[in-house]
Amino acid sequence: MRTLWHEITAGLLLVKRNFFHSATIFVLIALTSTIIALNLGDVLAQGMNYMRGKQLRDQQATYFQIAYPGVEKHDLTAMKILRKEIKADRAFTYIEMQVHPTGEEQEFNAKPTHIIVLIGHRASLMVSEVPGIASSGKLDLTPRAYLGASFPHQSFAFTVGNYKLTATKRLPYAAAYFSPHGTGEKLDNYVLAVLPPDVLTHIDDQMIQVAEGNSIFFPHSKNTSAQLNLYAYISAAQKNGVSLIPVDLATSQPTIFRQLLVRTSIYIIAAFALVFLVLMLFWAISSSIVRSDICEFSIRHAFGAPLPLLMCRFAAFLAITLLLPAAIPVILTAHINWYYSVASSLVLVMSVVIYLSALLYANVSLRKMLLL
Amino acid sequence: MRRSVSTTISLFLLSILCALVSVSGTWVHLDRTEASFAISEPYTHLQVTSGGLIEKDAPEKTQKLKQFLSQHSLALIAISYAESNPSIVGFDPAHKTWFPQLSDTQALAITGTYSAQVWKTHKKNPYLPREVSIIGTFTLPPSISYRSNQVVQQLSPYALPLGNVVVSTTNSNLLGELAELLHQMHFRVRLFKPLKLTEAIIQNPTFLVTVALYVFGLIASILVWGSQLQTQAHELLIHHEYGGTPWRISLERTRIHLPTLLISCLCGTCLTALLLCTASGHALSRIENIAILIGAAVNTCILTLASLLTSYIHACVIIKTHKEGR
Repeated sequence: MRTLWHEITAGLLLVKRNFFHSATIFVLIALTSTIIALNLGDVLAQGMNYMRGKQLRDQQATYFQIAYPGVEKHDLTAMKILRKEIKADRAFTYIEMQVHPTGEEQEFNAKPTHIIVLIGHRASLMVSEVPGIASSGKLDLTPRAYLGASFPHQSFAFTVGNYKLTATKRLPYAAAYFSPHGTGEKLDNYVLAVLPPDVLTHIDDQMIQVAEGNSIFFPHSKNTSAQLNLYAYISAAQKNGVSLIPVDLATSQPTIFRQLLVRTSIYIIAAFALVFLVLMLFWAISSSIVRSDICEFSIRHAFGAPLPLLMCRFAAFLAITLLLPAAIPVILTAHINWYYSVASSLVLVMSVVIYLSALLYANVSLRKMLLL
Repeated sequence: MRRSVSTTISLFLLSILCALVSVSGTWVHLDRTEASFAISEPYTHLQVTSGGLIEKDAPEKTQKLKQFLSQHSLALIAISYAESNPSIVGFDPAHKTWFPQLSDTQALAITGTYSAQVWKTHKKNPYLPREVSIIGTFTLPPSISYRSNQVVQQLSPYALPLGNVVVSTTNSNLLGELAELLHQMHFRVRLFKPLKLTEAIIQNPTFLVTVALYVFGLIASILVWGSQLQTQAHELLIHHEYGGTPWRISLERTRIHLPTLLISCLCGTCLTALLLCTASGHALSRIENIAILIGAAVNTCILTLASLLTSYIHACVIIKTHKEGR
């Protein structure tokens, strides 16, 4: 045990002796692993989102970007068209709401509850693993609500328009949603509600505006009036003070994803190039350490010290300069989100593999030098 | 043999890093052209927000603003996002920019947008007031074409200069007068200085990160080359014994390494260009190609110089230590 401890402290002394090289390696590994972890996390999150959007892209869905020219009139034509289109299965919409805790539950740090209300049969295209989707792909519109798999309470009651809902059933863990407006994630902490289109006539103006802005149309469906109705809808919304700019998801999402890929590939290629350079530096240092310490190793080996014990010195040196900095992004990204944690853990696993291969390399070269 | 392999690999990896620096450098350039709304004149950036124009005043006040711009031959382009109609509003009496000449009641649909589709079907554009009609389509300069704007309109009572506004002057007197005219239209105005090159660089994290990685890579490579030279100390000393000065030794070594350096740089640059083409799904733009070529040339010079200096310093140190040892 004492000899083992001696080897480990000797490893630490190696760091001290090669301080400039070790510090350079430490900083470079920490930097590159953080860059790789953060960018890989971005790609993972966006890649998942891209996969979730596949159903909507296949159906050539059109969503809207919103601008507010200012003139506001309370005209309900747009809402009527939207309701008609939802009933005809040529559109659907969703409303995102936040309910802040009230009364006894109110605490200083209490988080609001996020609710997503799906309106329309084809809203099934923006969610996955949600109960009540028929084999034809249509969502059953019976008014109901579900709790996310990790939702902290056992039930949740809320009101949307003329519907009073209480969510008690849980969604499966895999349940997730996709919104073309740039977000989409797992529904673990959400409350999900499904309502028929007539709820639109009972909600306030602000919510109507949200429902109109979030609406998703399928103007390329076989029915020729779909394009005309989209035009009528946009014109009506414009009169109401909202410019709805239609965007084709099948062309916009791949473009955005490509841009992200280019940006992250620049970071990731650069970081990998640097990792290789650092590894070369590592090999250069390791061989110089082996060269300078070879007399000591030979004497100790001749007096019975086994090779694995001698390797402990390298193991300690490598752990400080390689594993420790690679663990930094795991700590840094632990609180951001799941994707970053997965990405930084992947980076750590990668560095463990590099660590083991470096140890193997050191073992082989030490064997060669001791003429074993 | 193994030494030259590791030198080749390090040079190759550094060229990859350099090509990435060049590509992200073109983004800095793009940011600057985007901030100027693709006008080549010196410009000032204003942010104009609505305070609610009294409709009765509109024709008179916009006419006054147009007169002021014509009088001083200034160009004005306003691009709004989400705060007003999805139109690009501009006025360019002296034909200094890309902005087309239109009348108050005319507008152009931007190519590739929904408005252009609607125009083809001979329907009324939904985003424009009844008085204004589309007379054709218009292709925007590439650096500003990604926005969600639908139509191009001339500054008029139907199209007010809201949002991000660029004016082709840096004269503070003229800007003061312009701001006063906009105040009279009940708009709130904020003036910004044009984006300087240093600011554009600081605001572009990709460029900074790639430059940092290149510098770190260079440091790591220099350390690797240094430790290789240490292992070749005997050869250096023999060379020195036969009359080689540190300077001549390092020149000779660099000359021997030059073909490897050139080939590695070429391969690294080509591979990066290929990877970026694969990721983006289309060929690199002309400006990116030029930037990569310039970057490769600069990189070759930097690496030659770095390898020369590393050899020189190490040769000096090795010879000095040897003499002291004796």
